[in-house]
Amino acid sequence: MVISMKNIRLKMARIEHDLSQEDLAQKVGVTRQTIGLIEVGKYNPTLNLCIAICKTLNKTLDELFWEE
Amino acid sequence: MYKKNKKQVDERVKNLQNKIYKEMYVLIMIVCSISIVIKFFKMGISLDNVLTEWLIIFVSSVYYYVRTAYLGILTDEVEVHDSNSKIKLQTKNILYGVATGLVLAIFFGLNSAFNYADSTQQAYKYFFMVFLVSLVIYVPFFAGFLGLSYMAAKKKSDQVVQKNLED
Repeated sequence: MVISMKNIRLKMARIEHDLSQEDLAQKVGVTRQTIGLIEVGKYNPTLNLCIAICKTLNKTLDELFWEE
Repeated sequence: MYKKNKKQVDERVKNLQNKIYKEMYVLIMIVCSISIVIKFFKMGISLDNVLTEWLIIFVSSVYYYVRTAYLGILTDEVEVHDSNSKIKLQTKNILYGVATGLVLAIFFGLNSAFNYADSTQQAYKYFFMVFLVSLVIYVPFFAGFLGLSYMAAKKKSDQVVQKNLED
């Protein structure tokens, strides 16, 4: 999994669930900065964190993290 | 996407290596502390005897602090700490400064009482005099030093985070 560009899909999914970066961060047990950095593509999250985010946002890994 | 890169390192190996480095750091700190205690007992309490140990502990701590500020993770550390603790990290830092000043004042007071006084009454007098003077000097110094360095580091860290989060 290579996440080197902005993750718009994550941001959209988060907004769909009416969650702020801080809310999502709290739900998956990281800091707001970490979510922010994933969204701008400056942090490559571990598979565990990706899965936690997907489960919280009811999405699959493909939907949020797979780059076509 | 999964291009073979010569410089690519196995992340499992890297993580375990980092874990070892962390343990190594703790080990070095323990060895230095033990060395300081042994030297104090064997050679007397003097900073000259333990300068190397003191430098290792001091420089590595400062290095960690500066790096956390310049990488921006100090902001994360503060956020995690403050959400889990009733006392804010800023307050804790100042309290540590006060505690350090207090311990030093007691130490200097006892040192004067035991080494320079000729009678019990004089020992009490020396203790309280030196204790109070040291208290006035060291408590504001350490509380101010720790408080201000924390504020400066936090400000830098917040700036780095802000810059990183910009699109």
